[in-house]
Amino acid sequence: MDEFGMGSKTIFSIHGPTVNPAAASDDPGPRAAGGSSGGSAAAVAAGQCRIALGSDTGGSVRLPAAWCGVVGFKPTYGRISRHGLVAYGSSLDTVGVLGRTVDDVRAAFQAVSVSDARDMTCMTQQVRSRIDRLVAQARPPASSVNKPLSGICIGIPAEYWVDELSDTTVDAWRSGADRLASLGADIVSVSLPHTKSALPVYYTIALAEASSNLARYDGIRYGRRSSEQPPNEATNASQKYANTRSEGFGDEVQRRILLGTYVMTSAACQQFYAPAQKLRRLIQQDFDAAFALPNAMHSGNRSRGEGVDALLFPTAIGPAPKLDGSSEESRVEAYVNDVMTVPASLAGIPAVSVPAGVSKNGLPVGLQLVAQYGDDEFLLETASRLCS
Amino acid sequence: MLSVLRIRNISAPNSACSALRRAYTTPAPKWNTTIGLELHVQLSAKQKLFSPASAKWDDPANSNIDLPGRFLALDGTVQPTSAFDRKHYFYADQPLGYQITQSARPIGRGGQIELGSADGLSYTRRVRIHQLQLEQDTAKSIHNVYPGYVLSDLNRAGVALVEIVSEADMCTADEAAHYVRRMQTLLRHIGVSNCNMEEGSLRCDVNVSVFRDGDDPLSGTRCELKNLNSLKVIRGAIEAESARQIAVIESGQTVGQETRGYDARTNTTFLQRSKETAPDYRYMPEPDIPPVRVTEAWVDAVRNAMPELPDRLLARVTEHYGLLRDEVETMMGEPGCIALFEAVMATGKHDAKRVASWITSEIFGQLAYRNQKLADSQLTPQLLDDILDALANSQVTSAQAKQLLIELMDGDKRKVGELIEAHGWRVMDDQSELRNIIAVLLEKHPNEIADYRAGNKRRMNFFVGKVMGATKGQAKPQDFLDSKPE
Repeated sequence: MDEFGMGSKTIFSIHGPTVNPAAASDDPGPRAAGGSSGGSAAAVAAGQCRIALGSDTGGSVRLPAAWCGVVGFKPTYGRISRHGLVAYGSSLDTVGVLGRTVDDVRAAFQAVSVSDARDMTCMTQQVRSRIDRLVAQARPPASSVNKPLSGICIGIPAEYWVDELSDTTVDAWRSGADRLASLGADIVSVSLPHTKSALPVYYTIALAEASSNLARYDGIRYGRRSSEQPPNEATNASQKYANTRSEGFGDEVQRRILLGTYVMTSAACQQFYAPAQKLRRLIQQDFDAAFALPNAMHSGNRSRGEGVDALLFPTAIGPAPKLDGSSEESRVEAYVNDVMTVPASLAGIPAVSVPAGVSKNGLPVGLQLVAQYGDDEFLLETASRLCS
Repeated sequence: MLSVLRIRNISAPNSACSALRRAYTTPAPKWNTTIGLELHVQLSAKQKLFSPASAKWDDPANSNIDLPGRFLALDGTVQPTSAFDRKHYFYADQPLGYQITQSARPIGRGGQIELGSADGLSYTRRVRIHQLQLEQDTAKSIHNVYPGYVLSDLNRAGVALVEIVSEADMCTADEAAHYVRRMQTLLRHIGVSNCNMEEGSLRCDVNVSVFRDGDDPLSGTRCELKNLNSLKVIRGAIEAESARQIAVIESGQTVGQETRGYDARTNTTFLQRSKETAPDYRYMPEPDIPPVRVTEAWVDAVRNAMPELPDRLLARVTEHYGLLRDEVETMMGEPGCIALFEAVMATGKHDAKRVASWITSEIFGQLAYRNQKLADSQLTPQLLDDILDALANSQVTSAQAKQLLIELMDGDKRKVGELIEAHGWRVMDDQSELRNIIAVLLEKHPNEIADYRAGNKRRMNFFVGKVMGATKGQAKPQDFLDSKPE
């Protein structure tokens, strides 16, 4: 994986990059596996294991799943305990599951989706029961065998239709929608107007939290300690911290810590961090407005309203890029890869990426299904039908 | 709002002449001080704040979540929703690079302590509580053990701390000290902390600013004095700092917003950090800990479980048992003492004055000698009752009763009656035996008898001493004084 989960390609690692095993044999060069949990996706794609765990803060399970041609599931925030997981962005971090099939992923998920007193953000049994009741009331079980999705409404969010989408991706999206319609689902267009803010909001909040979470690696209680002796007695302590952290962290991690530290400073906080928190709420409310199921976190016991059951859109703007740097983008462009995955992370809602065919040069393409907070079981059920 | 008390009229040394000159022409400017306190109170909880790790190495795990609620004793309100924040800085005293604390949404707001005649003041001063926040304690930094190194004891890191922030309502060092003492009494009494300044379970930061008569009391630039670890140091630091600020202003300079330390040896404060070098704490909402919501029912339950508060307790015990205020206050200073007193009184056998004086002189003497807390001693109401019974029934003399107390506090598990028997103690109440001893003594000392008969009544003491010696202290002086030489 990328160091501390920071990356979208699994290239920021002291062990070297992870190579995508799903690329066709006549493909001109090694392809990125996606990241940050690229190792987990590659291991599943290469047949080394049936399921693998990953961590998904802004798409780190879904993006490599899409590029490696496997299933990658990010559950609702708080479904799986984060105890033992090295924190990146605590308010976004989820443990995700990768596998060859939705059924495998689902079985693994059900085994680890339990309450845990050691993680205060992990849903208690009480909250789980409340969500279960809410979901059961809102949606009767499927009755028709031929049209199992009849009565189900799938939304196609207009804001995800961006210029950068590759042709293959657009084709996969179209056929995915057709497939769901053929199973009886209604396909409607929806709007999530604050989606365009998602990327800057995500990078502000995730990096702010990362700079905080990684502060513990100062060489005293945690992390390696620089042996270099600071020359000047007066700046001894701060120079020692600087040496330790400059030596210990990789370039990408240092870049993100610096950005995250900056947005939290008293001078920049009102300009970046505070508005990002407000925008995050608006993004989450976009989803609430789109879904028929009320949000168990925010809406109390409101009954089912107008809206869709799930959203369908691509996991990535295109298939896996080359590792050799011939498709070298700027650092900012590298962050743009996350545009399709971060909104669900910001809203804390479940999202699953499923394989949706291959490009003309044999590279896998993934489609994402996203559902309301707590609606994980329905989401996996629908994903299973989409893949069948 | 603030009735400003004029407390000092300090002329700084370097402006002594101008002050003198002014004294003849215009009235010298009257300086006043504004003081606010931040008290850091270590909770007597068994566990750390956000960790199942024990707060004390030898304590079994337990939950103490109602402790913060007991701050209701300050008459403030527990907030229905409170939340935690991270305060970032790099220092060896906290292992995470940040401290988990509360800033924007603290658990408690409001409340007050009213200082007055009970504190020896001739006026009343209401000190309002601004807020009360839960936070993690830092590791203990140990300086100067290994030259060039600072040692960190992480056992204290993460222990639950409550910071009580007062409004800047105090005007003298004296008031500040009284406020701290009152807070200490109250917090010990409700069992949230032992508030021991030497051990660091109560630590104090003080904000000091000065202003001239007629100005807004909050118009001065405040300096924060950190880590004042005794009442004496708090007083000294406030007086030294207000004198310094007045001197700075009178010399035509301005006071900078600073964090300062206090050197008790030189009685001066010194610069630790100016505003320019103050760290940017980069506060952010703690994303790993959801907001804390408390219900009204929970608050009520905590309120109902709270012990009787000191002011009411003092009034009730003083009145009900006819004791002096001082006696009751002395007993209240030792946790568990009033309970002991009342349990012994509940037997209905003893005189309140006698019990109180026994507790405050004999028992407190032993506790002080042993450097022990009553709660940690072997003493029970039953034992005290037995000792006082033995004394009242003339089974032992008061000297022997003290000896019993010492042995019982040493951990002797025998009953009081058994101890008395083992020592062979028994007050000589056999009057005929006593008469024989006295008769022998009188025969032996005819000169002293003559002296006494001649009017030297003090000769009696000579005989009392002789009788006590002959009976090895088992006779009760009163008995044979009553049976005076016929």
